[in-house]
Amino acid sequence: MTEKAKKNIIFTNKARCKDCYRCVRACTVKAIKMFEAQASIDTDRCILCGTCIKECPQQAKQYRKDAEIVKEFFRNGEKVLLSLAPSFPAFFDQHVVNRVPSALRSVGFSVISETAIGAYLVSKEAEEYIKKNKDKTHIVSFCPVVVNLIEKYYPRLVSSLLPIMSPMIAHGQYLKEKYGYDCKVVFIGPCIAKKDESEKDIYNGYIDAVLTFDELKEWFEEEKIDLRKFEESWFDDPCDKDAKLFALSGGFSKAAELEANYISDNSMTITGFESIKEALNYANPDKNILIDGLFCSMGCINGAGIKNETNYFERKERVLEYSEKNIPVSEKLDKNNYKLSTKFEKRVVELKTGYTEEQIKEVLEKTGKFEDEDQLNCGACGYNTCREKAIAVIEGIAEIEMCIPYMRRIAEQRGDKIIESSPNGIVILDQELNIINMNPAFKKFFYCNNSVYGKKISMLMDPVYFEDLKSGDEDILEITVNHEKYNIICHQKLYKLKNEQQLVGIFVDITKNLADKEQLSSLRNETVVQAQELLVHQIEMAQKLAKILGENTAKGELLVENLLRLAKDEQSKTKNNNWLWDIYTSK
Amino acid sequence: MYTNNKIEIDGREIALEGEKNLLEVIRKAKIDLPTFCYHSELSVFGACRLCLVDIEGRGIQASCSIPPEPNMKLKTNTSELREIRKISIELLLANHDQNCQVCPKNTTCKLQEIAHRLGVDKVRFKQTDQRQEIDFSSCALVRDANKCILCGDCVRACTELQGIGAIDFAFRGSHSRIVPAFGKNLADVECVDCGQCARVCPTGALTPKNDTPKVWEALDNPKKVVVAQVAPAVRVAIGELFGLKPGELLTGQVVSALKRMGFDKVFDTSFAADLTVIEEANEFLARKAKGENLPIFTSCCPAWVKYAEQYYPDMLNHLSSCKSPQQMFGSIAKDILSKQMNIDPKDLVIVSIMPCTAKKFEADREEFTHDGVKEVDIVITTQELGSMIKQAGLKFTELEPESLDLPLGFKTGAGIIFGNSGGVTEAVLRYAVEKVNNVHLTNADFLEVRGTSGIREISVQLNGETINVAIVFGLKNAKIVLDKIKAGKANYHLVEVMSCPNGCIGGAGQPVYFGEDVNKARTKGLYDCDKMLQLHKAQENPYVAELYNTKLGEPNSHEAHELLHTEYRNRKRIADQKIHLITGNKEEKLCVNFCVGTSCYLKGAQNLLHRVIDHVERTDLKDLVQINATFCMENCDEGPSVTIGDKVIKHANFKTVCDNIDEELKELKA
Repeated sequence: MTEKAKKNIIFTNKARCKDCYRCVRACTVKAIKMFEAQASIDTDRCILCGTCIKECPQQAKQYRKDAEIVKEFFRNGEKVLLSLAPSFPAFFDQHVVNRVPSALRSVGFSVISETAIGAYLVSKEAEEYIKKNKDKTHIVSFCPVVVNLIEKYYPRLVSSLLPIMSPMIAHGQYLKEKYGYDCKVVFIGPCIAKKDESEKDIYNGYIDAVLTFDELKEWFEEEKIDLRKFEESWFDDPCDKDAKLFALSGGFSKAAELEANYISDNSMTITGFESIKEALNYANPDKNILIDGLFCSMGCINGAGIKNETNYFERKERVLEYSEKNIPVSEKLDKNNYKLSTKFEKRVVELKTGYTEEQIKEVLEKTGKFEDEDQLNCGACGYNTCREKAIAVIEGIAEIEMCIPYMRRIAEQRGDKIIESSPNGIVILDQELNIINMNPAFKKFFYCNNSVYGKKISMLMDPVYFEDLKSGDEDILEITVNHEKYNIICHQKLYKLKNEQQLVGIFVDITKNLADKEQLSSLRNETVVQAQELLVHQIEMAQKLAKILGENTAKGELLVENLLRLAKDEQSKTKNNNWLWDIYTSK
Repeated sequence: MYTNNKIEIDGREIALEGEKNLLEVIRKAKIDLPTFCYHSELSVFGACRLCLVDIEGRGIQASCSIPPEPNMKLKTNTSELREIRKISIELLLANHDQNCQVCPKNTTCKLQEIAHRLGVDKVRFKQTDQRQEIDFSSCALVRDANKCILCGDCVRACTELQGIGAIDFAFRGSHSRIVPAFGKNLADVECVDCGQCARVCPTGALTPKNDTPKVWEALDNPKKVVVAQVAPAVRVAIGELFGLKPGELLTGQVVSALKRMGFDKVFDTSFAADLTVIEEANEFLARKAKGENLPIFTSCCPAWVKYAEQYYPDMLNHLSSCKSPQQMFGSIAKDILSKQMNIDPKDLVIVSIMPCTAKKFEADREEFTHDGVKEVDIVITTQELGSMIKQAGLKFTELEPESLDLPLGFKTGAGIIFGNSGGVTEAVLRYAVEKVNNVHLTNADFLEVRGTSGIREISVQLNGETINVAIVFGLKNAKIVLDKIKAGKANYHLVEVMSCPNGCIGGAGQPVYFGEDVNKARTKGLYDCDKMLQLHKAQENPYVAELYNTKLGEPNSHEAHELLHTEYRNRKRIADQKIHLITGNKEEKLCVNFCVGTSCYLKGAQNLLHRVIDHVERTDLKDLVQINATFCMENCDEGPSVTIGDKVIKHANFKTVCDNIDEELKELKA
């Protein structure tokens, strides 16, 4: 027992904690401590409801598994008796529910008994107690989480708890009385807090180990037990029908058969933390009401030890159906043969006190909450109000960094700086190509101010590239555009923000670069042109020269011909002039 | 014993570990030589010639009939051996009625399997045998001689397990056949319907009778309310028909299948077994107190009851007068359910699902029909239930389990272990020890009762007295115990007899099994089932208690006797057939029968008969008497036996016969 007590019943698996604050948010008594972004359980505050185990998306909250203890009993040859919680039909399929006792016997349990027997005993005891103590507030003390809640957080109501053991403890006593105190009693149920309850010194070792239904299921899987292949069988000890409904809301009231004149009309049968909190806040010891509450909403059929996707009401139906199945065996049960009374104590959580308003203010300011309106009370950190969270920080169970709006702002500020200070123009458009953000550089490039927010980009530039990006398959476009209107040339990178359904444009001013480039290229061009011109000119010159030469020649020739003709005419007249003709024609 | 205790099989050494014969060693070496006639629980026969091996220095031999000797060298797979095996099968197939598709053994037939395994792809021989009539006479078994391959398994099962020999080889050579005595029908001979012959039969020559059409007919009839009772042994064996291991407990699936097929209610025979425990234990304690008719024999096994009626008529007063659980269930259910449901008992059809073929015979016994209404209307075996489930197309192994109906579906572990040999005894002890010793047993197990041997003897203390109990399975073992009792060599107070190996779980209606492992697993399945229940003693069954409170009163009360007890009668083994020797002319004649069975013959019956005939023919008696020769009158100890009118004359001689004839005739004339 001492060795068991050393190990916490609920603990955090460090490797898997992903720092999401879901557990902090879900924890009804804020018993989750965050340190270096790692959750752990503050056992003093914890009421063992198991909500965090159900809530944690990473299964980082776990509870102590005790099947090995039971296996050790078997190995040691002990006679092991089983107390099976009345919610078990909710956990097993209707086809196999009647085969569960058989399977449990095959695993090694000698006696399979229903905790409902204990429920019967304590309901009779409670009935008597309530009748004897009229005109007082009575809070049913059979849900260990409700007991923990009252002992730790509602000390003024501890005296109103029915001073009667839970059905589990009473049943442990019944079993040990019947089968001997050398036997071991194992309770299997839907509840994690029962593990803690069974270890209370006052209960004298009536219960030697507590497993949840999930632990049982794991065990069955390990042993390759196929429940379909068992004969149907029943429990070893006969049990009252009404007591089998204890796992349901109002089960106690039904079994205790309290007549209306013993309880006021304002008595309540409730489940779930919110209702219970309301009821406890409302109650005082002299109110003359009966509070029959089960901490888990919908009652024990929705306990933290049941991983089950089945609809609640279907589970309830199964429990109701099972309670109808009874074999005609009777056993005279007299509650007076058992010692069923118990005591509850105030176990007020030692909260760190003495913190001042200054301290709270200081913490709030650390998260940028200077004025009251800065306190969003968004609950993202897991605490209901910024103030509660600030107190938790002072108490050392929460951290500054848990404030999501604050962390976001910091992150955003860092991001903004980069954008704001960029020498490049940055613009963000929505799907309709409306401007939703731009940086100072962009404004400078395109001569605009905040008035263009929400306006189409086409107001500023030709939107064709953005349209191409939006409709095309490409995620990124790279282009260089001369925005003549603005006397600027930009190398532009346009890309999609897929998740945000936005388009981003980054504009790099390359106007100056471009001018340098142009000078060089025009120099090159001029050289070529001049060379070409030279070539053309030379050819023209050659042609002109040739023309002059040719014309002169032709002119000369004409002149010569004319001369010759003249001479011929003269020859006909004087034949002595032929020598000149001959010279010409012999050429 | 031997320093080198090994033999060589196909070139590999195999250690000898006390195997009885070479075949066992070969199978241990993971070579599955085919056989028809080899059953580890029966004697070695060596008829089928399939287990042949080639032994160095000795030639080809049947391995089943050779004891292993160290350093033997043998081959199991030579071309010659393969050829011989194939021809053997071919010859068997030639005379085998090959209508396999419509044979009840289709897919479970060993001949089919071995022909396939050995690659027999043609039959080159002509059929020479003449077609024989199929014998449908028995209400439990069907005998189709056209499918017999003369392996002799059935003959040995009947003789060696049950000590009966209702069937045997007849004729010689190629005319050899296996037939019941005198070539009669099974229903007319000493067969007790245990069906062990059908269990070991490798082909469809002997099969349990198929009563499933009757069940479908009842289910299809909207007027009938059809109710099932499921025997304990069924739930741990039916899975074998669907590829599951023997011993797997499938009660929920059986209920689910029956409900889907249209049964209105499904109950448990174990409820009636609980009732049987209380009736039988009280009967035992009453007899014990009076010191009469001890030992008491259990009467749950119908094959045993028929056997006792046939062979030990003088011991019938030792049998418990309790009906079997099947009949108790029928009797109670017809009474209670017809009233509860407000229907005519004739419209309430009770279907028993049993591991047993003899239960079919039991349900048909005339004692169990009252005013034309049978206590149990139809009996089907586990095999037949499997066949119905397959016909219905149900995916048996995937069915979600369903619940037995109350109250007759509620039982304690006492009623469950009835299916095992020793179970009835243990259940009775759980009751008797508590009642007599006035103690509460926290652990109700009597482990000493359990076991796999065919005869087990234990002693328990009841109120300071030692009670000797014998637990027997196999009727051959029953005979050993009975003869010991008759010879005064045993002083038992209680004897449990079950006919089938290891009790009902080894019944012939179960899925066909070979070897002991299957039965071990089924036995364990039932003992485990007992363990997982919350109640283990019949007296704790609240519904049985309620039945006594509301209807029966005390155990063994008048009302209980009316509903739950029965009587037995001397039963002749062979249906009568007389040979008429002298038939008088007068209308009223005195009938004189002479037994000419072997025993009486040896004691001079033949001479006696001749002298009496001579005497009658020479006197005026000739017209007044009818003289017959008969088969055994089953009074062999006190032969020669003669009956004159209604009078039985033991140790007959000429004088006593003549004197009695005269005397009887005087009365006749008067």
